[in-house]
Amino acid sequence: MDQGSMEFRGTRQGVLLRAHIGPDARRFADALKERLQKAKGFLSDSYVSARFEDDEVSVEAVRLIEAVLAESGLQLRSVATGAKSVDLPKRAAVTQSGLTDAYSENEASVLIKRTLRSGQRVDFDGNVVVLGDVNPGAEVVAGGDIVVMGSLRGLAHAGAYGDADAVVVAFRLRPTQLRIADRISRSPDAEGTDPAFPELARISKGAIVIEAFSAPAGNR
Amino acid sequence: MSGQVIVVTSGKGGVGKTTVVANIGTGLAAAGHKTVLVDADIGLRNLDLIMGLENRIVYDIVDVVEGRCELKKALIRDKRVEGLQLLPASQTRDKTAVSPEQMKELCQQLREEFDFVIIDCPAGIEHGFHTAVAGADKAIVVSMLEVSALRDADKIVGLLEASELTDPYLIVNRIRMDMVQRGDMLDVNDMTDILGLQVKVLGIVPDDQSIIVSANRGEPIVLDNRSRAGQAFRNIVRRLQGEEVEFMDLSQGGLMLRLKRLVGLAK
Repeated sequence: MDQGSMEFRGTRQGVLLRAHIGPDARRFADALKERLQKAKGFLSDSYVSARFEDDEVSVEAVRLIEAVLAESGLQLRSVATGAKSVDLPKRAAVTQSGLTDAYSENEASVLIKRTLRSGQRVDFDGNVVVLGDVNPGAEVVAGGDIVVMGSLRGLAHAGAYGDADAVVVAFRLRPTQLRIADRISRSPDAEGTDPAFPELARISKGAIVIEAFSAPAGNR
Repeated sequence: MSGQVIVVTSGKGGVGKTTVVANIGTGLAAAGHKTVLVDADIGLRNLDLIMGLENRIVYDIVDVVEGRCELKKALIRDKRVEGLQLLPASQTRDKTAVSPEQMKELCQQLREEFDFVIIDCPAGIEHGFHTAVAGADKAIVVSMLEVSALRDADKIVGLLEASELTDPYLIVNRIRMDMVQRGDMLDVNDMTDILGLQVKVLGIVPDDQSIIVSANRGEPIVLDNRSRAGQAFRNIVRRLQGEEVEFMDLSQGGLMLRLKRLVGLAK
């Protein structure tokens, strides 16, 4: 996203603000104010979850933005910033203002504390975390992210309701098929490498890519 | 004193459930336990054939649940082993003829008289399966080292867990060790990896042509001292009685290998 640009999106949990603040927070805040005035009334009385592409966002910037939003009847509920690397916590909040914590756009998460066997299916509109394996023949369908603390050998569909930013993470990512939003991917037919480390799948440039998963950098 | 009801199931057809039931049952009875085998594969009855008792069937399980005869009248005594009886299935009806509640009731009656009630479950996951597992305390899942058998076994274990038949036993049947060693067949670890640690391996049985012969003759192979599959079943019977028995080393054996060793061409 270009510096200074912003976009709003309505979600089940309220309004999602995606923006790139840039170095001049005040300028951004003014632009935000103008934008909100143009959309007067359209977005009022909502919670706002903000996701900034900036690597760091200062506390004053957050306060400024919070104030501007409040003027239009919008309440800033959480803030996330993230570095360029697209490890899972693109959504992990790293600010010092007291009002935020790690959040995910789809806030509801369900925790499944066992292995999913062939023929079993989980269908949830938030995130799904499985503390176990997902065996071949099992299916996990989530509106948000999917995290498998084990071997994912079945079918996983993250962002099933259209969220192309959703990811699938597993200790051992060996799915029969992987789906994110409206994209589908399958393991190559040839016996490829079978890495013994955690991997993450996400959409990049319109296709599903898989990369090694590394833990996010800690809070600053 | 109440007996134990064990259901032998698999999901996949043709992996050896009936063979397992016949041999475990025969083995347990031969070890002195009063045992009854129940064929729940109604419409496709096989257990009577494997036991060699097909000519002695007068009444079957459907006659019992529909009240046409007493349970006692339908039970057939085994022709070889004392203390072993069979409750045959019907060949003319189908699996809708017996309900899960009726099966449960039947198992209650049987466990009062027998130490072991072994139920031969039909293949599949439909009505027949649910009926067969209805009265059971414990399940034995039979599978082969083959991807579709494994997939079905996983599904069955899930269904068993949902019916509160947790921690089933596993018997891995029809193992061809030469294929496993060449990597052409899965190995037992691949199976337990998918099925999970709560599924305990009760036995491993090598593929053995004499099983087909024994089926055709109606003589369960557990009684054959020369057969390796028979030995595997004897081990399983001992483990069911609580004994710790080491698993057979299936990599040995075979006449060629023994000859080679004799002349120093193999270790």
